[in-house]
Amino acid sequence: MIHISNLNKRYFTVDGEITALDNVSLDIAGGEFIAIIGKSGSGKTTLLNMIAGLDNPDSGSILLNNADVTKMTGKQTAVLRRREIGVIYQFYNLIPELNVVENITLPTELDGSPINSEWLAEILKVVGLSGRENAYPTALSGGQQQRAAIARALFGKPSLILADEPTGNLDNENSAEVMKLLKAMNEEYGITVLIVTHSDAVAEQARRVISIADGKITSDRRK
Amino acid sequence: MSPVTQIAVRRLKADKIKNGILAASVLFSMMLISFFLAFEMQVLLYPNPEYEALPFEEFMAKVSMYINLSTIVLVLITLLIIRIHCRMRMEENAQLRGILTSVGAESKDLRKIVNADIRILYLPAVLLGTMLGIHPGAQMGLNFTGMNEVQNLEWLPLTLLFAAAALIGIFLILLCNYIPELRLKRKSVIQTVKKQNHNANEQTHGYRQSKTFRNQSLTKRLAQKSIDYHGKVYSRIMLLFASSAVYPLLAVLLLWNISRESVVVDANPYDGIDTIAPVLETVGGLLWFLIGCFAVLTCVGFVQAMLIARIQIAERRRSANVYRMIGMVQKDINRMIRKELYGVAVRTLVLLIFVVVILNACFAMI
Ligand SMILES: Nc1ncnc2c1ncn2[C@@H]1O[C@H](COP(=O)(O)OP(=O)(O)OP(=O)(O)O)[C@@H](O)[C@H]1O
Ligand SMILES: [Mg+2]
Repeated sequence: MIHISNLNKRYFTVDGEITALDNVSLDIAGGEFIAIIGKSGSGKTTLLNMIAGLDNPDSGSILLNNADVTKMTGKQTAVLRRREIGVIYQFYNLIPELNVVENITLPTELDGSPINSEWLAEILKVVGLSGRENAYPTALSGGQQQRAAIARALFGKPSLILADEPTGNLDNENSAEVMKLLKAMNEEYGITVLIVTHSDAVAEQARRVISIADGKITSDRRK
Repeated sequence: MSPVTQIAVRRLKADKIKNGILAASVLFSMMLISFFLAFEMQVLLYPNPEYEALPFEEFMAKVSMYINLSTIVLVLITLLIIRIHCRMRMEENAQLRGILTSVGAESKDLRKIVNADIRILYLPAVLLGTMLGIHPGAQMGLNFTGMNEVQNLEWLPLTLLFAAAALIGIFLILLCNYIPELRLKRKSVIQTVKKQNHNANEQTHGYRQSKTFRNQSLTKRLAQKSIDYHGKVYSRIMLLFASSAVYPLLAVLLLWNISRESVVVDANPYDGIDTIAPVLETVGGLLWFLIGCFAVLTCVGFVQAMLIARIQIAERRRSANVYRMIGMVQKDINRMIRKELYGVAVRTLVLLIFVVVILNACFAMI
């Protein structure tokens, strides 16, 4: 499903040149549940953003269902994020001016597609936000916000979910809840899930764990 | 309504006071600009043949020049204020743009945030301001040339003038709005979302370093560091205060120079007393009108500058939390912020003196 080859990314900063990604090659099949671990600054976020077409590499290619993301225009990657890829960050996921339902349906609205209210109700139930449809993000707990972000990623029926430390801001209980949801998405809806994490408990639940250090893949374990 | 427009509208509503004041300042600026334009058009296109023999030609030419200059300064200040607002809005919206991009918004969608600003905030202000200024300007021009009895207002040139002024206003506003948009496009959106963390790191780093040689001027040096770091923010506050202070300065310079000219007319030996009297009366009226407009603009400008300064200072206090976290006492933090503001005030003053000198030199050339 994803075929990454020889991906390189360098940043030029006041402290000199930083190699964020160093010749990264990786193959991911559809339906996998993968955790990416590594020290802070090892290049995890950079890799995820590139797969989502949010950042451009210096060289290398990322084939997503045989289409090269790095060669796409801004408009094409935007369409990709609306229809194929759901992105979840650690925080700042929700738009404060929109309530839960509006946040969840935003990508579909942007796409100009019709809203399927049965599907919406089902998702709200799955993430446990039924009854909070009209709440604004400030009125939600951190865990609820994160579940709303997951619901948004799920609502467009994507084939891939990229989550950058989705549990980084949560306590153990909420964290387990979020992981359960991501696993359910993977198992029930067949969505490929790529999750960046610092937590061993989270990484343990993945069937494949990839370690990154200094922009290089140092190990790739399957269970 | 598209979802992005909806978000933008809600954002505008949430900040009613700030946006209302911005709209008011654009409105009054456009009103003054179109007032000046209409006045001049009237005076230039329809001179009074009876005045030809009198030494009014020279006086009127001078008044026109003063007004020309004031119009230019007004246009520049209006532009500056709109530009500052646009930049600030861009920064305020950086996070929103980041989220929207990550859920698949295209640049066409992101532009809707700016479009909503233009449609709801600037456009009505430009149109209304232009409309309100034109009629009194033309009427004043008629009075000025002593033809108010002889001739009625001509509507066709006024309408054309309105269209031209409004178009120019709209063009300038579009320019101010879309140039930063283009610049932002080249930057990665994700960086703008991440930026805050970099901020905090750099500040902690700065404080830790200076802590090693603790002495009295620490807060002062930190304040200086902060002014350098927040340079953009502070220069913005500085420009806003300076530009709202330029309105009364411009008014004083304009009035002073015109009143100096009218002394010459008074003193002239021609026996056209009965024609001079109504003209002087009109000049008096003109001056009062200008005083009124400039007073309103000064107040609006000042309130706007205060409001924005307050927002920026609140932001600064929040970012100063980093200092508290690493054990700096509140008293020192406050002193540091005061020092920063003091530094900004001094710079504003220097800038203003510079502006006054230049303006005065321009007026003196006439
Ligand atoms: N915009 C940027 N400018 C300069 N350097 C950057 C930029 N973004 C990332 N980097 C650098 O690239 C490297 C990789 O960053 P990245 O954000 O991918 O790390 P990460 O593995 O996600 O770390 P963390 O676990 O802390 O989130 C880091 O050394 C970082 O300093
Ligand atoms: Mg990261």
